[in-house]
Amino acid sequence: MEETQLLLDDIVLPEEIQRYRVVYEKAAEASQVTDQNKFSFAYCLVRSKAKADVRSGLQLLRELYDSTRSDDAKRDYLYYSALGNARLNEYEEALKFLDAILFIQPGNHQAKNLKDEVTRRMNREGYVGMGIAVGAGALLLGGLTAAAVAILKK
Amino acid sequence: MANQGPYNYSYIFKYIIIGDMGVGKSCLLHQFTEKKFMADCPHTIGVEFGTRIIEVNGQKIKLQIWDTAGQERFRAVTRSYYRGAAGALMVYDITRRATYNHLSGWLTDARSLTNPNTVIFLIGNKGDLDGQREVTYDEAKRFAEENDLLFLETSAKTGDHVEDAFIETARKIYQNIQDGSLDLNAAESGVQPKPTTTSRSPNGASGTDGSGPSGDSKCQC
Repeated sequence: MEETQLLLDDIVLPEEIQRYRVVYEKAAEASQVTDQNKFSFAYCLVRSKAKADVRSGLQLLRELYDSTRSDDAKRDYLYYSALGNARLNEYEEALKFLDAILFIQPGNHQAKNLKDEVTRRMNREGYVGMGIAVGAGALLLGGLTAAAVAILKK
Repeated sequence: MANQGPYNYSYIFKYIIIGDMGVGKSCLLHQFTEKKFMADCPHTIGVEFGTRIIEVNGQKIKLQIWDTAGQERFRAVTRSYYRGAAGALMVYDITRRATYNHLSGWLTDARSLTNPNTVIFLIGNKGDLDGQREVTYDEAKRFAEENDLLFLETSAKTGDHVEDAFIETARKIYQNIQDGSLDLNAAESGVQPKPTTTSRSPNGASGTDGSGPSGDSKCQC
């Protein structure tokens, strides 16, 4: 409970994001983007205080998700997609990703704990759903959600 | 081990647990916080947290333990959690030589990313698998002494010495506070006095909003 709150509220300072941004952009210029440096940057972004950063991070995670075949890696990208969405208060999206993880790994306590916390926040904030919360980011993420749902059906 | 209310302690010590994948970091944490062994634990995603209140010299201390993923993919991610750790538990697996050979890399990270007073405790885990041992106690003990580390062999499975490792680390940190070598006012000492209303983030307050169980349902695997 407390731990998951910490995780959700943990913030990366702008300087650190900038540092990773520089590394990533240099790599991009030199066509040397790897899953590793992309993920490091994405992970930084989803923990930014700036919503625009979180959205960019979610986009990178989606690209990573689409381009990997490793189940382990997919799981990690889903988890951080959930985290990013939760931080944007887009709880329904977050829950979809978490349910996808739990479908594959029912015993994954990290996903379970995050799900509990997201559910708790939804209740606390009287969450009213995507009908109102829809934004560019939600549309952007349609594809990844579909992928998560595809896993659920597998 | 019922908690005695969220604020019934004098200090918070922040720990990190580091080491190769599969050495049993999360299981050590789980054994310490839940007193149970969790078999079939999935690889940790990034980082996770555990807490437990212990007592050192009559002072209640809350350990806030950040358990990091051992996978290479997360290396950059987990590095950002070293900062501000008062204690670092560096774990290898006594049955896998490679995990021991990688310790110097972990130690370099720990030394360069934490502060000079961070207490580093070397843990040789899976002590219950003595028959498959690839690293002798003496060799690791020597490595620990050369590098000024505390050292124990543990078993997250049986619980052997797990408490000792976490509590000895706290004892050493506490000692550093008492003799003044650890400056509590330093920004990243990894030690916080009993929380007041001004904390870095609003977590402290939200822990008491009454909507969740205040018990022991911690998240470790």
